[in-house]
Amino acid sequence: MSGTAVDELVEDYLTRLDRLAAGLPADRRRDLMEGIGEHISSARAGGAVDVDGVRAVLRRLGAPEEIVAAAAGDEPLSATRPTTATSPWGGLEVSAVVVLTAGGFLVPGLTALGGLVLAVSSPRWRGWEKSVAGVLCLSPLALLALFYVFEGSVPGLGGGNGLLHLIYVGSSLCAVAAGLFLGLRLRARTGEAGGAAR
Amino acid sequence: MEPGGARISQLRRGVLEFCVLSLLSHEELYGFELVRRLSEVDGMVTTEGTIYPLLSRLRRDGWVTSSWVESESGPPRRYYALSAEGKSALASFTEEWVRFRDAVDALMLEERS
Repeated sequence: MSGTAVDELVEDYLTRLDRLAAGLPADRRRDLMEGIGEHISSARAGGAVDVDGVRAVLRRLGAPEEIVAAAAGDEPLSATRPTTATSPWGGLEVSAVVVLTAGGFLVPGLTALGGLVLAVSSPRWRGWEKSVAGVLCLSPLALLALFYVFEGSVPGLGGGNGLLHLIYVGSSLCAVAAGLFLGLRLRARTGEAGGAAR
Repeated sequence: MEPGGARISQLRRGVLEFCVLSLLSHEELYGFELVRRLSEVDGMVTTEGTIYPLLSRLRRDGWVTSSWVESESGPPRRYYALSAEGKSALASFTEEWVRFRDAVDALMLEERS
């Protein structure tokens, strides 16, 4: 009877630990579960056979939360560095490229500006790369501004003006070009980082 | 937690891995035995389970190696041993530690008198 109660106690503890450790890389999670599992088996083989004995062993091991926190925090070298060192792609960079390329077809002009702002605020692109993207995104808008000056009104889509349509299409294409350019630059850099690491 | 407890535990954590290396420099040990030895030293370990992530890292860093050994009582055990890198890491820590400990002691004793 007491055997099953002890097994249950151990099982509960290990299940909680395993669930909490789900966020760890697979090999470290396995390592941790193996280590703690072996510790408990050794303690039981060494005389901790009743409920009180096993409770004491588990208490000394500590709360699963504490152990997993130590496992997660005990990685000054490998936890944070690789993701930033090997890939320059963060959320900001992906959004910038997506907004510029895909967004260019949806809302020309506005998305070009939005994408440009995202790209400029990212530290991953160099100054000249941002300038190229800036010229690509802003020149069609500058043309629109010129229209405003000479025609005295913001041209609408319904105007049927051929030149105007050309500028809209051009604005989309330029934004797409800027997005592709920035994307390819970062891709090239991923290769560089890998080369430097080797 | 006592005042300064978080800092004390940080200090303990930094030194603990070298205490593990030091224990392993005398003989190969399996996890449970290693943890028991550390726990016997007052103030060394507060949560025994946190030794295992530490051992796992020491292994990945190449300072410690491990091998499975069959046991007469219970499942096979993972025995830990010090590697050559671990040995030299321990040697340089020991040298630094002695200097550091003496410096801190000298400063604190001087302050007190």
